[in-house]
Amino acid sequence: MLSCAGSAELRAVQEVLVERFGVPARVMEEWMIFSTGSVLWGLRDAPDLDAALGALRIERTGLPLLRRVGERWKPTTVALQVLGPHVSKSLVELTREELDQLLSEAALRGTREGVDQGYVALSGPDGVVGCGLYLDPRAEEGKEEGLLCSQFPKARWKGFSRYLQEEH
Amino acid sequence: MAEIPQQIERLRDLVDDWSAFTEALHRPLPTDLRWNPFAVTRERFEEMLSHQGLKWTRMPVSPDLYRVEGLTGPGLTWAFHMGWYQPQGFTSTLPPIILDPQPGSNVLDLCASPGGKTSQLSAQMMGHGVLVANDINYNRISILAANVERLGVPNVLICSYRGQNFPERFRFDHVLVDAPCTGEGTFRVEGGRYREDDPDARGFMSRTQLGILGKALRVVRPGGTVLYSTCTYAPEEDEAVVATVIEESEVGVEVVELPEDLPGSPGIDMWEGRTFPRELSRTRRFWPHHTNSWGFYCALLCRLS
Repeated sequence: MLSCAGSAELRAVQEVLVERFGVPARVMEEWMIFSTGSVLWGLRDAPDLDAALGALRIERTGLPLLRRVGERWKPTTVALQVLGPHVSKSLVELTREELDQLLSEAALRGTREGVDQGYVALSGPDGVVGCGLYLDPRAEEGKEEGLLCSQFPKARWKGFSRYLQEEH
Repeated sequence: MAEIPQQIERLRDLVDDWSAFTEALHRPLPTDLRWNPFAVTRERFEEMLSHQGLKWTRMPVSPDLYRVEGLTGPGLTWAFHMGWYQPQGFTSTLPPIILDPQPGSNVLDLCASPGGKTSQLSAQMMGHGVLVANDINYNRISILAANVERLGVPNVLICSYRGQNFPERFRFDHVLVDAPCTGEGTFRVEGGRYREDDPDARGFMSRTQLGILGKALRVVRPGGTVLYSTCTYAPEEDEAVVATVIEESEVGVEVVELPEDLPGSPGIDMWEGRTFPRELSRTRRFWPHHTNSWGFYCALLCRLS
């Protein structure tokens, strides 16, 4: 059931997209946030949007921005792609070879300076392409090096592998 | 040469060059890709096409559309999955181009699935304004939603009303009615998805189209525009529907002149003994031998009161 996001859900958007990924708050103010429980959806705000929402029975809206995974909110691929030009933190820039390796092996070893443990935006030759999970050795007892895990959806994974092979 | 179905053969008098028309029906459809500005810059998109070794040209009238040679399976490429383009036939891009919504306007796509025209409308609006995509079929809404997500379209609300029953509580600046139809315009000798000739189906379609177009004229604001389109050549589903709506509508309706640079032929003034209002010559039928694309029909209507 679609509903306007409550204060806890709006706080999740603030914590994940603004605070963790550095998307300016003014950019997120352009979006209206909705909830279907396990997914938070974003819709570009418009002067007559409230009137339209009040007049119509809406089935689905906008783009999925965050998906609940256990106790956490995970950014979706499309959220990071759409907001990619505004992402300034938790951004891992990868070369073509690193991306290729990440996709083929599902993980990439190595400590990333200046990146905190948690979800990160993966950036390739054409900008932000999706989400990764970074496990930082400073946060993991007994670990000596970091690990970057791909969170790319499987359906897009295959296509993206071809992109790397064919385009770069 | 393979046979042309009777429901197309009966339209012989409407076609300016029957031989060129039937020859076009024997050719496979070219591959047309509409660049998606929400995902990639135009320069990068063109660079990708060239880098893939594809021959491409930008289409006249529809400047975001690229006709591409050498690409098989446009829905299977990485660029498709990344949302860089939407496969969309040339004539299928014309209804949004004619409707011409501006950023900040309120737009309804009344028969929206699978979402090619919806995403095109959003691109024209630069993602700003209220864009409602409606489709009665819940399964088709899943396809629509998947395309909206893949293309990163930021301003779409999805509804699932029967078109004829769409609520009248919110007024739109523009409404697109890409109506369900018998689909002869999609016929090709090798393939196509048109329905076999069935007079009952045509009668049902006409009634459905009348209901949906009538509703569109009630939900658009006075001074707003409605674009009615079908992918059929059949006058019963094209001029006859528009003529009936003009005659019966309780709001004043004007048929708007279409841009001069569009290919195709003007709407007809008579069919099987019925005379249509002269202003229907401002509507347009698009033929495959003029466009090397689907057959289409478009009428732009303005609500006066």
